[in-house]
Amino acid sequence: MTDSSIPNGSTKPCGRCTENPATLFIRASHFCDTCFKKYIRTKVTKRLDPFKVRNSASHQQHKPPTLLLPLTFTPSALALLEILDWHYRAQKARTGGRAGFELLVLYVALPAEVREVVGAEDVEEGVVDFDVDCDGGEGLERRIARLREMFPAHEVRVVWLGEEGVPGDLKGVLLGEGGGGGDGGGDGGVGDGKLSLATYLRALPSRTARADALALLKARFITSFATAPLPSPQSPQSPKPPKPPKPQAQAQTAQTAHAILHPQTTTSLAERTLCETAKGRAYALPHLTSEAARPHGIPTYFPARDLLRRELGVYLRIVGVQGRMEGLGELVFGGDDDWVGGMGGGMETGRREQPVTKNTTIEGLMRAFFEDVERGYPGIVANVVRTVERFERVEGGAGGAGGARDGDGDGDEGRRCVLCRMVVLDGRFGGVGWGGDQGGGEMDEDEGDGERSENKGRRRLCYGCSRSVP
Amino acid sequence: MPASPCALCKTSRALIVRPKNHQKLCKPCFLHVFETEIHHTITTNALFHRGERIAIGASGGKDSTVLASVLKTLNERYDYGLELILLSIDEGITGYRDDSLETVKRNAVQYGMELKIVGYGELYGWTMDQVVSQVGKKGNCTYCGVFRRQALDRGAAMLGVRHVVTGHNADDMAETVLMNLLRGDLPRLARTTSIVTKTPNAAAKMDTKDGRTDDGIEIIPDVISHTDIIRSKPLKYAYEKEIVLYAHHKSLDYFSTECIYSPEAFRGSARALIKNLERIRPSAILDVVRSGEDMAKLVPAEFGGAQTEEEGEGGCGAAQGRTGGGSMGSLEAKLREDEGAKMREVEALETEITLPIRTKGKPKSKPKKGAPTQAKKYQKQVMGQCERCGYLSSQSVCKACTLLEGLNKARPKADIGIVVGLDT
Ligand SMILES: [Zn+2]
Ligand SMILES: [Zn+2]
Ligand SMILES: [Zn+2]
Ligand SMILES: [Zn+2]
Repeated sequence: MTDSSIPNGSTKPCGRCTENPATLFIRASHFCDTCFKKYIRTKVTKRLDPFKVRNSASHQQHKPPTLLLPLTFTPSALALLEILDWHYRAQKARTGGRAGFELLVLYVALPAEVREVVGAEDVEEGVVDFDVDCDGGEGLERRIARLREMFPAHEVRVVWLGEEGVPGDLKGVLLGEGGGGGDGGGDGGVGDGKLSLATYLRALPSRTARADALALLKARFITSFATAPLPSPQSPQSPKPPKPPKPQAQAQTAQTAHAILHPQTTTSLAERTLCETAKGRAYALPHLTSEAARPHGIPTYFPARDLLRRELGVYLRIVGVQGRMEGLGELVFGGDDDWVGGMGGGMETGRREQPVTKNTTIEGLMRAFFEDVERGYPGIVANVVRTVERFERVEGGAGGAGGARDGDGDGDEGRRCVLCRMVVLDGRFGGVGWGGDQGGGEMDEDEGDGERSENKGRRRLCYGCSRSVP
Repeated sequence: MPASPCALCKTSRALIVRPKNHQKLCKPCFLHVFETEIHHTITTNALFHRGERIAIGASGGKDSTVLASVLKTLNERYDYGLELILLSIDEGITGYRDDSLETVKRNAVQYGMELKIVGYGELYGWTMDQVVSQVGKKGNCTYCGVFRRQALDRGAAMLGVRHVVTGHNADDMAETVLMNLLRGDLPRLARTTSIVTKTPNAAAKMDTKDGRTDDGIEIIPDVISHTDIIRSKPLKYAYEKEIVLYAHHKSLDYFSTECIYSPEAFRGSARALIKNLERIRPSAILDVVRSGEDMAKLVPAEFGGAQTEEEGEGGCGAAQGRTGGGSMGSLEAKLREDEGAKMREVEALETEITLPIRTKGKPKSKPKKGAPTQAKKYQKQVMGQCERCGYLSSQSVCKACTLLEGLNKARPKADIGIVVGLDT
C-alpha cells in the first residue's frame, strides 16, 4: 500500500491517538490530522536542538543567534517557515518571552531579464530552487506583504540576484574567450568588464548549465548575505533591490546570521545527490548534504531533512486551512496545487509526462524521478541520503568561521573551485587528465593552452563546473 | 544537414556525429579516435604487460565483439605483444546460446584467435538444462547467476590465463553507479568503477605498488587457480552508442540481444535515468563515471573491502552479464522493517533520556541520529575462501558450492525457497 490520503468516512482509527479517525496513511502508519501535525513538528524541532532556549545567565544577556531562512514559495519552504514560527512562539510562550533564536527570512528574487534567460515559461516549479515563474512584480509584492502579515515576528527581506552583475572574482572565469560570446553578446556591457548575469547565463551551452550556474550563484549570494553585516533595508514595504552586501565590509561588524537553515527535505536532498552525481560533482557530496560540513564557512542546517517533500505538502494543507495561517498554501508559486493532491496515491496526477530533451534540466529529470520513487518507495529516498551521510569528508571543506570568500585565510582558497566554492578532491581541477579524458579534445578546449587558461582562472573550475561553464 | 568537413582531418566529409561530444567526423577519423581512446585507457592504466595472455570474455554481443576487434587492432598497431584468446561460457540451455556461440566461433576465425568455450557441465557437472529438470523453471535464474559469476574465472584458470577482459562500457559503469547509489550499497560504490578488479589472492601475488597490473610476471604461479584472476574493463570509458557505431562502420559480426530489466529493478531505473541524462547532456555518462570514481574515494574504509563473490558478471540471460540489482520493492520492504525496529528503539531510548540529562556548556548538536546505529548494523564483510573450491566467499562455503551441494544431494525436487540473498 502506498502512501495516500484516506477518503472521508474512513473507519480506521489514527495509530497514534487511537481516537480520531485516520485521514492519512503515511510511512506505513495511520494518522489523523492532529497527530500528523505533531509528528511533522517533532521531526523538525528535534533538529533544532542547538537553538533551544538557554537559561544560563550569560545566555540571557546575549541576543539569541539569528538563523537565516532562504525562502522560496514552495510547499516545503512555506511549511518549514510555519513550523519555525510555531516553534519560536512556543519557546517564547514557555519562557515568558525568550526564544532560542531569531529568524530572518530572505527571498532572493530574480530580475526579469534573468528569468527570461532561464526559461520562465516552462521551468519546473522549484526545480532550480528559484521561483522562476514568479513575475517578480505584483505577484511577488503581494506574497511578500502577505508573509509579513502572517509572520510579524520575523523580518522578511527581499534581495535581487545579479543587480551588481557577476561577482568580481568570477569575471575571469566567466568572461572566457569571446568575451561573453553567445547570442546575447550585445547587451550587458561586456566590454567594460561588467558582465550582466543575464548575458553571462545566455552564453552558457544549455538550459541545464544555466540552471546549474544560477543555483550556484544563488548559494554564494546567500552565503555572502549571511556572513556580511546586515544591510539596512531601504524600503521595507516594497521589494526594491537593496544593495547587496559588500564582501569586504565585514571587518568588525557582526555578520547577519549565525547559521543558514535550508528548507531541503529528504526528497530534495536525494535529488540533489543524484543531480550532483550526474554533473560529475560527487566529490562535493559530503559537503552538500551534511550539517557537520561547513563548506561556506557558516553552519548550515536542514531542519526538514527527515521529511519527505510530500509530507510537508500535506502539512501545509493541514495548517493552511484555518486560523492565522489560513491561505498560506495559496502563496505557493506555480498555480497547480499538485502538492496538495500529492497524497492522492497512484500516478493520477499524470504531470511531467513531457519527454526529456536537451532542454530539460538535470534537476527536472531527477525531480520527476524522485516524485515517483517517493510515492512508492519513501524508504529508498531516505536511504540515498543516509548513504551520502556516510561518505567521508576527505579534506578541507569546513572553511573557518570567517567565511569562505577570497582571502579569508582558511588556507583552502587555492584548492577551491572558483564557481561552486567546493574544495576539489586531490586538487584535480577541470576535466583534463583523468581516465575518462582520453586526449580526444572532447573536454576543455583549453588543453595545451595553459597560459590563457590560468589567466582566466579556468584551471580552478572543478570538473562539474567545467561542464556547465566550458 | 549541410555537408561539413570532418572536425579532425578537415578534408573528408563528416558523416558521423560522435554521441559522446557531438563532434562531426568522417568514418576513418571516428574509427581511429575510438581506437585511440581505448589505447589511451589501456596505456594510462597500464592494463597489460608484454607477453601476457589475455582471455576476452566473449558473448557474441556487440560489446565483447568490439572489444576483441579493437584489442586485435591495437595489439598489432602498437605492438602490445599480447596473446589474445576468446573465452565463452555455455550455460547449457538448449538453443539459448546457439546463435551467440556461432557468432563467437566466426569471430575466432575472423580475428585469428583461439577460442575456448567452457560449459557449465564441464565447470560444475550440471548444465542449466539439467538444473531446470532438477529444480524446475522457477528459481533456476539463481543457479544461472551464481554459476556465471565464477564461470569466467574458472574458465580462465582452465586455460592457464590469469587476466580476463570484459566488455563493460561507460553506460554500464554509469548505470551501476546510479544503481548502487539508489540501493545505498557503499561497498559496491567503492569498487564498481575500478578499471581493474582482482581477487585478494591475485592482489597478494602481485607487486601492489600503485595497484598496477603491469608487473609481477615472474611471480605467476605455475598452476593458476580461479582465485588468481584479474579482471579489467578496457571499454570503461567508451559509450555504448559509439560501440554500436564502431561495430556498424567496421561491419563487425555480432549477435544482438536486448537485456531487459524490469523498471522495478534498480538496474532498470538507473538505465532509464542514464539514457535521459545522455539526452540532456551527452557528457553526462562520462560525468557519472567520474563521480563514481570520486565516490569510491569517499567510502569509508570499513565499507570498502574486497570484491565479493556476488559481484560482477551475473544475472541470467544478460549477454554481458549485469546484475539487475534487485527490486525496489524488496529493498523498500526491508528498509521499512529496519525503520520500524529503529523507531521502537529510538522511542524507548527517548523516554529514558528526555527527563534527566541536560548537557552543560556549549550548545552542541546531538550525534547525527541514526548514523551510529546504522553503521553498526552494517555488517562488515569478512572475506575468506570457500573451503570446498577456494573461491572468494564471505561464507565458509561459497554460493556456487552450496547450490551444487543441494543439487547433488537432493534427488527429489530441491526446495530452492531457502536460497536467499541473491539478486536475480
Ligand atoms: Zn491521532
Ligand atoms: Zn565547481
Ligand atoms: Zn576525418
Ligand atoms: Zn565454493
